[in-house]
Amino acid sequence: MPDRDQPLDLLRELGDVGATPPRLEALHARVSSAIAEEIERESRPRRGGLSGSSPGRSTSGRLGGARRRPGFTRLAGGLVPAVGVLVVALVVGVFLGLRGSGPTSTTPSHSSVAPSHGSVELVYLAEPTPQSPTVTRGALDRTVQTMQARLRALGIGPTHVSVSGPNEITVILPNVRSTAEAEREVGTTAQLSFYDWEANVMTSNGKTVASQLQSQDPTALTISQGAGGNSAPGNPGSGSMGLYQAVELAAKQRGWLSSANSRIGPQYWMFGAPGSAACAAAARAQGVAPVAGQHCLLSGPDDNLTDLRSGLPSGVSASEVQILSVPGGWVVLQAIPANFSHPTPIGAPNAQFFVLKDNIALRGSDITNPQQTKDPNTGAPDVTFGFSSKGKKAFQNVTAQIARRGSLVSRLGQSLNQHFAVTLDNQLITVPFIDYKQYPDGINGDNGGDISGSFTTTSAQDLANELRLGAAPLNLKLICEGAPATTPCL
Amino acid sequence: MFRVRRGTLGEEGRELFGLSRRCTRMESVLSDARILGDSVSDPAIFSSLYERHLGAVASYVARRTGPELSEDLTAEVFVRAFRKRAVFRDDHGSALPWLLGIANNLIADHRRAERRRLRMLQRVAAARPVSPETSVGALAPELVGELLRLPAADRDTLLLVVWGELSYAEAATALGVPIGTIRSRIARARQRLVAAIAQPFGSEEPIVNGESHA
Repeated sequence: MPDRDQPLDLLRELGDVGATPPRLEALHARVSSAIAEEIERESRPRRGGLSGSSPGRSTSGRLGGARRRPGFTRLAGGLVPAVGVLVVALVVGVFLGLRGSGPTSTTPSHSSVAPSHGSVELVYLAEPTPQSPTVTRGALDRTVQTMQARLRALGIGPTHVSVSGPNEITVILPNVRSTAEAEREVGTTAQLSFYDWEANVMTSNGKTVASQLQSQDPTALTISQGAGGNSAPGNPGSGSMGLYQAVELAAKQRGWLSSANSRIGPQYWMFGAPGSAACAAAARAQGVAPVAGQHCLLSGPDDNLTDLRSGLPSGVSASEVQILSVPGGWVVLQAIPANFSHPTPIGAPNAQFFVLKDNIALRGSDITNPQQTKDPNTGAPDVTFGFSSKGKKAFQNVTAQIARRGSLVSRLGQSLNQHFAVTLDNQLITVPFIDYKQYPDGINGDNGGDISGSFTTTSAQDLANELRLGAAPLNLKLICEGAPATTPCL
Repeated sequence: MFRVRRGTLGEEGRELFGLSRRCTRMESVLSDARILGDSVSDPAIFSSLYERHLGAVASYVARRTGPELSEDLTAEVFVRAFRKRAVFRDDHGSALPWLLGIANNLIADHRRAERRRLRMLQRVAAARPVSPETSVGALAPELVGELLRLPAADRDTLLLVVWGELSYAEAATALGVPIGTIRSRIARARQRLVAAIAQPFGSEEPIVNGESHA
């Protein structure tokens, strides 16, 4: 038996075999130039920030003040009383609540516990979107600027946002208490999208509602006009379906690719069969009772199978599951929650869904300057935004198209007003109608839009910030939470 | 046997002389944190930090990944350190463990290079005994083979101490784990290495991915 220190001594010697001593001068020059590049890069987007080189120019402050006012007055005075279609009833907490609702929402790949003090590092993988199909340096830089603007707007102390790899963005937040807090402050991209509702939502036979309205198909009519009573379009019960049924329907469709899609490529879901051991184990792991006779969501939705599998609850074997893949060009959207402060989790047995063709009319990047304001009449906090010139045109077009269809499908004495849907990520937020008699040519987007409801100033501010980040050209996926001093991310 | 490198003493050396590394490095102790702190507002100061630690980081990276990759990775370690300079917290410590922690994370991304390097060591060791004065010199191939089979976390920890010349406490800082974890990982790794050179059989066993979990 060798001496217990022999192996380490031997190893120590082996270490220098074939590891030629580094050429320090050359290496030094190399590191110097790399750091010089970093210094240069850092000083560029940061404009008068930490470096303190331009004391008189606080650009961020001026932007906020100068542009804000005119936009605000026009928005508030114009759209709300005139149209009233964009008024969305929202309650505090909905946006925060929605984000974490999926069983495998943003799971960090190697999560490490951050110390209770000190700084937190978050590394995001920037993923392409249909508008930015490749992750370019320009798109990364714009995303970094958007994130910096958001963090500045939140008044968080010194932070450090930088491009840290070919498709990575690193955010460092000193002085936060936990990774959870840091994650909340940085936020994730909340994609706001507008869809023509009837033209894209499907009945269970795989046809769009719009294509079946002229024949006055009863299911199509329910989805378009609601089920009466409290069941307005987009609400649970107005032609909605259970999750498994919805995903199964969407998975049967043929994928199609367009810059109007909200995502690139398929979306994966993992289900267990009714009464299966997998569902029982998953229910146990989640501390809930399994529901008889229903498929259960085990993991997902995810954009890749690796993440999907890693979201499998403990105690569930991968052999007894069913994976469904929704092709690109189709989305499964959760029905408007009955109660925005307690949205139904996506995997809950009573959660309801709609399947839509993923043909976005207008997206987060088409809105400008989202901000928290106050309703001029009631003084309640709300969120107003303008449309970009592209957004104005798109809004006018889609509302005109919706109005035309309304007049086309309505029979004598009937008024089948048609709708558009506003979604945030995979959640329907509201499905307002366009009065085709009042606005036969659609609604002019000059006055922007307004989202109001039971906001507090803070929650309205959060939403505005979230929408601002939603305008980032790339999607961000959290891949590492670390503490730079002790457990740095890669 | 131990060697003294770059004016610092190896683990055994410090034990032998009853020194803590802190004593040998008091000056760098105070100034690393200050350099990093000051470099937030004056990034040019950061150069003092890499002047100080470049050699140590480069040696460690070269030992782990071989000379081909080591310059790239060493430069990258300092770039990442620069990006994170605002948040270096350890007011009393040297920045070296932190830098080697960053290096470890980078190496984790180059497992293939690391395996290539270890296989090369294995071949070289088989061709000529590295250390004729050590009786186990001939067993070096088995040793490296076992190193390849160690779980990645154990190997990372062991090599931070052996090739990175960190103390257990510094390795704990570098990896962000308690010192007890470092001790148990090293004990486990050492035990496996001892067993490997005590019974140099079964070394024909194919190496799957260097990350087997015993």
